[in-house]
Amino acid sequence: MKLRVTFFMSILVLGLANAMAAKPLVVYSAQGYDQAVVDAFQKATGIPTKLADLSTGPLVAKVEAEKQNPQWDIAWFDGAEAMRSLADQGMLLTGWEPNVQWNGLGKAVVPADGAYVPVDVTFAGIIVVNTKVIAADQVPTSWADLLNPRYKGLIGMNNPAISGPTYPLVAGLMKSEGGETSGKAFFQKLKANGLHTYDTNGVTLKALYNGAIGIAIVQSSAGIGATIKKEPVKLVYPDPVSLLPGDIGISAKADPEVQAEAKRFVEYVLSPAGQKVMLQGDAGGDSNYYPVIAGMSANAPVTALQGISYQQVDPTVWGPKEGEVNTWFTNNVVH
Amino acid sequence: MAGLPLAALIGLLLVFPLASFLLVAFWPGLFGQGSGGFSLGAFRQALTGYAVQALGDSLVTGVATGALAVATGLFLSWLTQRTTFAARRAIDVLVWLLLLAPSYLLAIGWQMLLQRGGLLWQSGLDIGWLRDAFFGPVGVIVVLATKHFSFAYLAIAPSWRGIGGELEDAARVHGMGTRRRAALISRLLLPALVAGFAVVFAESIGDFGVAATLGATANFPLATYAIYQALYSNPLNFPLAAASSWLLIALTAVAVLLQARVNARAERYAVLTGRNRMARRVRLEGGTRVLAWVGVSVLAMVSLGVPVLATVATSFTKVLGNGLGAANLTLANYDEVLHAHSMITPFLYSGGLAVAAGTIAVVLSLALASLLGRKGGLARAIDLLLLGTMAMPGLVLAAGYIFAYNQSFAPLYGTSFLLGMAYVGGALPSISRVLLGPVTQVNRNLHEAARVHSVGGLGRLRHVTIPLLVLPLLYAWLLAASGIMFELPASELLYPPGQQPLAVALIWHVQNFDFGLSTALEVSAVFVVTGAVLLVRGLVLGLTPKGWRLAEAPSAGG
Repeated sequence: MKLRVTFFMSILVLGLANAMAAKPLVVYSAQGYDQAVVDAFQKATGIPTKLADLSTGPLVAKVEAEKQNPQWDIAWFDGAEAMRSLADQGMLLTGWEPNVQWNGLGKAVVPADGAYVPVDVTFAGIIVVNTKVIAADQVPTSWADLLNPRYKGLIGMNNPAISGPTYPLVAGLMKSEGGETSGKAFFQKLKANGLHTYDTNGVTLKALYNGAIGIAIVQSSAGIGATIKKEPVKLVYPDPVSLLPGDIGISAKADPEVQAEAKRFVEYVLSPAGQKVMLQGDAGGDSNYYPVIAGMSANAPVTALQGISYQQVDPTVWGPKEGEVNTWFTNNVVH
Repeated sequence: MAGLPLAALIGLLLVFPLASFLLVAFWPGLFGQGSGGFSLGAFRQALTGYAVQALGDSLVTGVATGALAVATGLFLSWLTQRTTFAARRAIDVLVWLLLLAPSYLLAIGWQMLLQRGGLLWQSGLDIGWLRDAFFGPVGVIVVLATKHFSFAYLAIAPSWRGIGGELEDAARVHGMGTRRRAALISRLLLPALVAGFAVVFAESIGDFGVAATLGATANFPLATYAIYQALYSNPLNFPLAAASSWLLIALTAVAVLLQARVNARAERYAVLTGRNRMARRVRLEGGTRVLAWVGVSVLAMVSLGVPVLATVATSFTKVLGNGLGAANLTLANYDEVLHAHSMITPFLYSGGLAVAAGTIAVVLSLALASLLGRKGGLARAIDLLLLGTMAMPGLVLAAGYIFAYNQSFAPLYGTSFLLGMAYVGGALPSISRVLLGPVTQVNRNLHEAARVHSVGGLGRLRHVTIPLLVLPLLYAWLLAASGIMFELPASELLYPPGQQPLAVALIWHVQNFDFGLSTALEVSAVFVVTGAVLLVRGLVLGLTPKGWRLAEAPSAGG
């Protein structure tokens, strides 16, 4: 009995303490440089800020599970489709855009309704080749090349139903193949050529390094990280690659003063000081992005944009198809 | 007596969060995610296409893994309990190490050995058929069985002691042949075998590590993986995840009912008197001895040796793509570990929670284990609850905690207290299972004698239970605490913003594609935790009276 009373007392006390403490700005983020940015923001502004760092999948699940009583103020991850889905459920503050000078990439990915803010761009999928497995003169140069029987059983990519940033790659390929039907046919042929599917960029890259596969289709920042680590790889940017924006959303249910702080956070991230932290915070991974602000440049190892043919995948068109396409992919390509 | 508070605690730790999550299968709009009232649509979805195939695969995997693990556990427990096999202690150590090892680590080790470009390939020993077999159902079952036979072993070993030497002698005197004696013994062991099967079955259908590594890349979808997809990938489908969880519980219920049936029949053969004379140990000689050594060595190699070697090798590798070789070896990853100050705070935070939650989990598990050892409906219900929890991936319980405790009447979500509760709830099923054998072995007569001498409940705990069970309790505590140190799904979903647990800090480096550094960090963390475990064990052994150490590790309880 005593135990039970103590237990309920402690629940009560903790609950009260929880309610009374001053509310810091709460950031849920899946970005590699998030801790560095949060620390720098807190130092620059004095606004107490707390970070929960988790992968995109668990992050979105956490946000959805909290729907009735959101504990987050800022959500930050790659991929506009999941942001769009949060916006469609009325969970994001809309109609606000920071006062900044977008460059071409930025203009391509800013949403019309201001439901979230893009702060960087990578490519959803590029081709990374292990040069110890694939000879230099046999490296594929286009998406269609991947269907060549000489690569049978040597190609790997992430499962879009597991790895959030992979859906834009699949959607983009479907778009450039001429639509969903012809896109599905392309993936069927890839599967017939022995396509391996792994969970996430990390697992796919590891399989590439180990030589389990010779060709990996992964996010560009991951591919550039591989060159920084001096792995024996070559990067290929087939025509076209798809833009993958890193987006920040602000909770629609947060208090107005907290929303104001969240806006300051976004402005800080897009400021020269914030960009500097983002460009250095995760040198081997997420920091290898293309800035969306005019006049900012990417890190030195990042492949120059000139000569890369890229496209924007419209989240309002392809977002609603995500469930159906992912289910199809799992049922027809993964197994 | 202790029944009501215990029930209340189990209600708060397991039933309330699990029920919150599972009800979403019937009422998708319960917590505001979906819309509409009562619906069975989620079950329709869970019984079509990918989801139902995954469920079937899980069933097959659970049955095959259970059978393989029970056979292994039976063989090993015979070696340790009934023979003079010299490496008996080593088997106990292996069993405990496997309980501690995360299953994804075991799977990854095998991948690194067998895959194209793996260690065998590099040394020119590529065996195509073995690779093809391993990257499919066979590999999934083998890895799960090597991971989980520990539970079968812990369930079966104490029963050998229950079958006293008199029985075997009597059988011999009556001229029973070897085969009939074996049949008699296996009949007496049947309840333990079925109990071992049930727990391995539940553990393997609830395993996520192997499902996500081997199962996913081998195009062999398992139910936990399907649940993961429904919970973690856009568009999220909580009702589908909940419906699939119900189906996993239904599968577990079949195993629990089977167990109940066997136990009811086995009552006729009840021989557990608590006064059995130890049976003579069989001297292993000649061929049998060689066979035992080879069997145990291969098992140790397969279950632990390969994965550990593969992981350690990665942590010393400079450039992964350049393979094994003297020129590609480096200490740089460990040098970086020494400078990873960012890991210290998470390590201490998780350490504190592990000590607190591990202690509470062991206390509750002790109570649960003595409850499970009894007969009747309540014990059955708790058995089903615990095995059902086991059969669900950890992220289901964690998601349930969000639904249940992110409420204005219980605003615990986002506190370390709630994360600690989730750790306790998650540890209860396996820890109570580990303690079940030793607890049932503690002679009832001792308790009755103590009662006759009017020793109260606490006194009995102090003078009977704790002295007799000090080692099993210690091992259970170490198992719970070290498991909590590396727990990922609840840590990720429930940690208070700004206070990273160890597993979350570790996974950051994995997602950063820094494989050398991340494995070096993992190896170091395991090293430090193992050191702490040995230290605690040494302290307990040094500070408790010698007479308390009647019971060895749970395997040799009583």
